Amino acid sequence: MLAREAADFYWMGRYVERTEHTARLLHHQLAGLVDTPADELALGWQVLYRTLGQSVPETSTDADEAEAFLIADAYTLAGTLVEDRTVPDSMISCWRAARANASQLRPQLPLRVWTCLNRGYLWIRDCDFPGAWKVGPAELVSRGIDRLRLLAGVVDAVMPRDDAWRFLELGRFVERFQHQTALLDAWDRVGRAPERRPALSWADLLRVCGAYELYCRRFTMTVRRDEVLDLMIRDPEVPRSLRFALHRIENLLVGIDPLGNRHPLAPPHRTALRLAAVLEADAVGPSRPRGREGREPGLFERLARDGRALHDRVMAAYVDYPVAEGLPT
Amino acid sequence: MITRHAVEHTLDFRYGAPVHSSVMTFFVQPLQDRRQVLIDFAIETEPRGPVFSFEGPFKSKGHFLDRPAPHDRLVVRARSTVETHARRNVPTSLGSDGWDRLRRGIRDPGLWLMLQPSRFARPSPTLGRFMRNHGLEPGEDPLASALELSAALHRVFEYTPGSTAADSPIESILETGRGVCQDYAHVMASIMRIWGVPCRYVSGYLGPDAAGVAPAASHAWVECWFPDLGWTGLDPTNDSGDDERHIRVAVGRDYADVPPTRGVFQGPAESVLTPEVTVARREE
Amino acid sequence: MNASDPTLAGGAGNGREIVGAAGSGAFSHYDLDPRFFDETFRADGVPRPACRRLSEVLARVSAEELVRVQDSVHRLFLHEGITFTVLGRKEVSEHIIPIDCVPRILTAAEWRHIEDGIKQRMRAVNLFLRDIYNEGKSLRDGVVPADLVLGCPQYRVQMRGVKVPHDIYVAVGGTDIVRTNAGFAVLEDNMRVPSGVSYMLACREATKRALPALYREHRVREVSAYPERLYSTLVSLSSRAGTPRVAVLTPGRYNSAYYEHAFLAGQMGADLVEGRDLLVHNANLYARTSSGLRRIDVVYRRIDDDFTDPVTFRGDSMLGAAGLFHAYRAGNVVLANAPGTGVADDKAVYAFVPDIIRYFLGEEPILANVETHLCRRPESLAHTLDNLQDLVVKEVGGSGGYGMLVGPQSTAREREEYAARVRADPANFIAQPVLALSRAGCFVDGSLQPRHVDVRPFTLHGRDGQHVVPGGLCRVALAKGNLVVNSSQGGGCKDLWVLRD
Repeated sequence: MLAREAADFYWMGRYVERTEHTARLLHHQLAGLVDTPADELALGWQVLYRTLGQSVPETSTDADEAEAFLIADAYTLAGTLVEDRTVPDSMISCWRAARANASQLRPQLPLRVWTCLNRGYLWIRDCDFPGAWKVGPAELVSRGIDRLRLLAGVVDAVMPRDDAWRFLELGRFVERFQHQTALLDAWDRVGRAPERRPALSWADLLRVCGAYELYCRRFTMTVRRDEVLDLMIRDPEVPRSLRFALHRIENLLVGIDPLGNRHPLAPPHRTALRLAAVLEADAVGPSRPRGREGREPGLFERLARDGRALHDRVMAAYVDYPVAEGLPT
Repeated sequence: MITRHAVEHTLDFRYGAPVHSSVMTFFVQPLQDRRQVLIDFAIETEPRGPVFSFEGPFKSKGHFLDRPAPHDRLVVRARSTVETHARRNVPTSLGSDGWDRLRRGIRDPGLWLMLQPSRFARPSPTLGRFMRNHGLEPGEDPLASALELSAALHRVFEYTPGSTAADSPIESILETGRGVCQDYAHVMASIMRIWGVPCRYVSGYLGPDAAGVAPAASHAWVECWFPDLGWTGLDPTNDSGDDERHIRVAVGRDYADVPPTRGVFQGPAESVLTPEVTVARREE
Repeated sequence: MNASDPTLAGGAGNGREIVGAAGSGAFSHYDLDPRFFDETFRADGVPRPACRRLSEVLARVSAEELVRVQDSVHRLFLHEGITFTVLGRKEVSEHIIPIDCVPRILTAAEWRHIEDGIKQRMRAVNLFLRDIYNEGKSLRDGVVPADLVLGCPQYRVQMRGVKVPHDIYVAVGGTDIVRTNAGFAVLEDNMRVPSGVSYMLACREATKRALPALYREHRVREVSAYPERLYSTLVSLSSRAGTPRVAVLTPGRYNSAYYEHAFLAGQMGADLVEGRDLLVHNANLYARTSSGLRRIDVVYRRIDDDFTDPVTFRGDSMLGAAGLFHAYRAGNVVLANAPGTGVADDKAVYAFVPDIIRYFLGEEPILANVETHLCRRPESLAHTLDNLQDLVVKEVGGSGGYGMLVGPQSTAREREEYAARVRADPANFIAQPVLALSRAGCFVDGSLQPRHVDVRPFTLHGRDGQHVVPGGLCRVALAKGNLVVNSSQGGGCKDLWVLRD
């Protein structure tokens, strides 16, 4: 397929995944408006923004102020993340970006996939956010998530497993890997700050990642940080674990460019292998998630850095390669 | 008398930073026809690679190349050996019923084409004003009118290197009175066509004179078509006909049809072109 | 849905009385005007035989039902993103071309006439194009004034003497056909990059879904094979052994017809390329793929000549590929249509097409031209300036309904300004009488009303001959009384049903 189209599929995958990521976190926050203590909610917003790589709006963890902050600001923050077109990570912006990529892929994209994506976009574009807020803020986001799942289902059902699909999935899992890394890092950072009382619940992290039930089955209902991190980093069966995403990335890369065929062990493959080794080797004990004295990079920093490198190498190998390298021999 | 010229035309493109690739066309190969003999021609490039030749729209030979690997400099060197004749004995008028014979003689699409306005040689309000201000009107005889026009342009304009660019419209020279040979030729062609005389643009070189005083250079002039005489060279920049110093490379409606070079490159860089022409002359 | 309630999906009862006459039932707002040929009704208000069934059914259904059908058609376009793009001052917006759910019907005999006429015209134009880029016989013989052709801004000197594959210059053509009380006539030829074929196909899909029973009953000729035909036409022009690789060259997604480019590429399994995807190396054309460069053999280009190759045509354009023309001249890639075909749809050259047909084919034109005054002729200029309020004046190189003056709908001031433009450059203008375009029934504001229509059938010309798709983009001027049907001027479209014998 055309290099530009490969890039469009890849970005479409990334944006769809990003929309879902934002939506999941937002859903958790909004569902929690009912019963979560106000100060914990404030922490939640911080995690949310940190994961999106944005500065955290000034909030107070003082219980009284936080109570006032609760509804009014939650409305503003949620509104920003749902329907503000000027915020690049808002659901509507990501959805629109995914649609813009898809609109350049019409010849390659099954009509059902396009229609599903387009209708989802028209839905969020035309949704009445203030009205939806009155009914139940989490409901709107939840419906958005349903639409994204429908899209994933349609993609799964109708797309042939060719390079188009591979680049789409590659984008999704690279995005997932980067986002989950950022989420675990932010949760750990915000939640573990010793002066913070109360801390964020690790059980909530599992819920956001859809892994709570599995955790309880495998461990106990007493949720412990180390076990949560171990599960979310290394478990091969949890769809939002880093290992799971990386495993998919490796398989997709082999499908796109069978090892040893075009470039023996092309740079993206190598980066993925290195990441796998990092995941394997680095224990996440309570003492080691961060670098010592800030000199040696900690696990999350290394994962974040290599995750970005993975993206760059995918682009360099399949999209922006020098002309001379691409000439038929 | 026959004059032999050894021409070396070098185009040296330097890019501020390495570019990914470049693609270019050239019109640097002298014409081969009844009035001029091309003894040999060779083109070489750095970085090396194939150069393709093609037949341009008016029997001119063009060249094409692409260089897909990164490079920060591209040098094209065209060497040719050309024999030119001394100026034919061109009369100063066509004689009786010149205009009638001219009009009747234009029966060929190739001639009609050279009566049409083109991108750089076309009528405009500025040109109309210029013609009125200088009393430029066709006279009794087409050839005499052409010679007078050539003399008038030579008188009115001041030859000023660097005053216009390759893609300057004729308005620039018409308004400032300053220009280079290309502008003289465009104005001359525009007016001759308005008067109904087929006129084409000639891109070429001007060799040194017999004394070796005047330097060689890229040059441009025009050819007008007259019955019995055929295409007749006129050089308004020097107010002369074409003589043994004029080496013809390509003809077209104007500069846009036969630019010595036109190219694009991909990459974040500025490009600087240094062209250089040398002509060694030998009488035979 | 109960049985006594006729619906468009299920078909209507078969009453024996004449229902669906103009002026009755759902047609109560339908007034016939003898100045305009009516596609649906005879002058006495009785439906034409081919339209009887349609008008019967339409007369019986409720306005609500029609609204439902109209909505379903609209929704299909919206969800599938069948849009055209409009570049505004601030942002790019996507518009849906308004589609009218009531089909226009042409009989087999009417269609045969149109088809024969278009084929003849295209054949002659093709020979004409070959001639003007080679020996120029028709110019020497004065069939068309030489300056009109050689001075036409669309004339490409670079094409002189270039060997065009199989001498087919126009592989894809579109011809705008109008109908007046005097019969069918050609209003305009589109020999560069005719667009609208995707709307034709989408209109058909939508109308078929909305009126399934009626469609089946009418034995309508299919148009769905167009993309396949287009593909085989393009491939037939290539001399490459094996399966030639086809690409559709688009200016990108901000182009108004981007949807169509994408649609056709998708249907043909061709690459939808932009200039930045292409490069020329050693006189071959390549596209950048995710696994290296791949050779392209045929380019169905949807960009103007000027933009195809910056080292041959306009140097400031990055929409095409540098060196593309070089690969074309070397015979390594096919360009469809060939560069320089715009001369043939110049509006002044148009006036000479009947002469071109007589000269090259030795036949009388089957389809008439619309009477055209060339303002380059002093007497025509005077006539035009004296009668501006009764004429349509157009720029010779214009298209899409831009830059034209519709006399009867203009203000005195507009006419004055326009006259000044014409006087300044008469050769750039032509004038035509205001055409009494035929009218067909459309569903407007809750009732069936007549609106002016034209139709653009599409022609393909490959190595194995010509093919006119039995259908076309039927354009409608939806505003009452409006005579301009271009979608860029707020026109809509409807399906055209060509009936089998």
